[in-house]
Amino acid sequence: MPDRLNAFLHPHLTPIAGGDGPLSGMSIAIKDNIAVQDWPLTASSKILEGYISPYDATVIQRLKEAGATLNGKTNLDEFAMGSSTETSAFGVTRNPWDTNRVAGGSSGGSAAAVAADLCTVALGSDTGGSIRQPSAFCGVTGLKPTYGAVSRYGLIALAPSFDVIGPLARSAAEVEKVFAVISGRDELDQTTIDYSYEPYKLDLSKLRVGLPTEPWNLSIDSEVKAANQQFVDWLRAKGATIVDVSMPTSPQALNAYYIILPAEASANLARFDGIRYKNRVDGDTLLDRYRQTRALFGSEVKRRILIGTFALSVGHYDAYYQQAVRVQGQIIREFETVFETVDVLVNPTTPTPAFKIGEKADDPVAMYQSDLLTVSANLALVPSLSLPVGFSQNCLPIGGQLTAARGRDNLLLALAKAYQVETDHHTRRPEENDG
Amino acid sequence: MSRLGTVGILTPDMTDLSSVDLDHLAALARLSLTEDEKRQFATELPQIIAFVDQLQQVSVPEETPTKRVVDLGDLRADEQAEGLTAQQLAALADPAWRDGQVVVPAVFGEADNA
Repeated sequence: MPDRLNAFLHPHLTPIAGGDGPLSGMSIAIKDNIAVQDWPLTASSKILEGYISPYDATVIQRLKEAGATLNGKTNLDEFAMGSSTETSAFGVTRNPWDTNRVAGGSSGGSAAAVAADLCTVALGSDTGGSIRQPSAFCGVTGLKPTYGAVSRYGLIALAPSFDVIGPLARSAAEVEKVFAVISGRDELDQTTIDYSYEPYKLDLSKLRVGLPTEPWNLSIDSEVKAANQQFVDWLRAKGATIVDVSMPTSPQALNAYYIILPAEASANLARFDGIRYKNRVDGDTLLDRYRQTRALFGSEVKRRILIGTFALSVGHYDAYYQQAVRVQGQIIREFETVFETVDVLVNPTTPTPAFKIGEKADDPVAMYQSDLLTVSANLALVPSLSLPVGFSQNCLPIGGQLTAARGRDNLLLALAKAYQVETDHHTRRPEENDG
Repeated sequence: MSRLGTVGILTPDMTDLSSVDLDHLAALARLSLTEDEKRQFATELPQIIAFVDQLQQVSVPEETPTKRVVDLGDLRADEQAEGLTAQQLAALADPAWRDGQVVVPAVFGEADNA
């Protein structure tokens, strides 16, 4: 199974065995944009091929101290830019439920590894949906924590004002265990908040659930909608109050995201210059060396660097970047307002189940629209979780998304755990499918 | 990235997509593009920009916000933390280590990798 899926990179790695601690016995796979000392760190890019990390990310230190076993590095879209793991320089990761389909992205390797029982838990990163979307596609539970709840020290930066590291596992209970260990303030990351995990005592009969109108009105696959409606029915049957809420600026979240992210990425990837990170292609001049080394980036990375450069350039900065930041501010305010009247927002995680490999690879805008339902939470800096809520007729997993106010990650986990006590979507395993 | 504000020529149609100057953007970003990539991006970039351009229709307050995601109220103590030792650095840089310094390609003039 592992070779067929291409979930892991660097297959020669020997697992780093854990010891005693709250995570003792847990085998954890790490997305290859998170630094593990003495292990390769490639971000699935040729420009970092052969690069060995000289240090551990803070989350890795915490996992080691908690006794976890680290069993390898997982595949991702190059520099975490993508929604299908198809932009990886080392091949796509296949969905264990149907190996002709994508595992999602950018944390496709992590989600596939969990779904195929190649690890207990995996770490991913979520900038625009990159934990939640592959979790939905692979039928696992994935949490994008509150921005700042988990240290980014040792995470290769993509859009540092959105990036968050988070856990993926079959069950919310396992996600919770790992999240409790990795979260919390870190002196090495000044954007972390004072956060200490406390389990939430959930009373479903007092829960106020909001169904955001604009996401539900998007063009969503009928089976995805039906499975999510069944989840809402379950909530209603448990006594939760369900209301429709409107977030009128949310349809613009994707546009704002695809301006801000490329802008930040273009700045962050400037450091890959043939001087600092091992790989270089020599040229006659320094400028040639920059250009020729950076030719090692894949197309999607180059595309986003160019868009970002455009959005930040003279004559466009105000209309694009500044406008996007203003719209983000409006989205943040809308979320704050809506969470005055509801505790959790519920909607599908993705517009469709996993699509076929190659289906969207030639249409960047179609690919970006995979993130329609997930990006708002990144812009608003709030926690958001995807959990399995059903399956399509052809046995593809369907994810439901729960979103709450900043700092209420524990509410999301408690709600997911309660649902998983009474349902078994999260325990189903993919059968051996044809390749 | 220095921002010159809204000085400069603002054409009436700020989003004249036929004028996306790919060569200029590639030069700014220190990227070299193959001929195939130039052809591909010449089509794709205007499509992407047209897509995000919908943002122009959103009316938001005019004040220019500072992009700030967290309030940096609690700064850490101004104390030196541990970094790499010279030996660790030498081991990492090896063989590009000479006289206690990391050898990198020359920034000015020609590099002699002696």
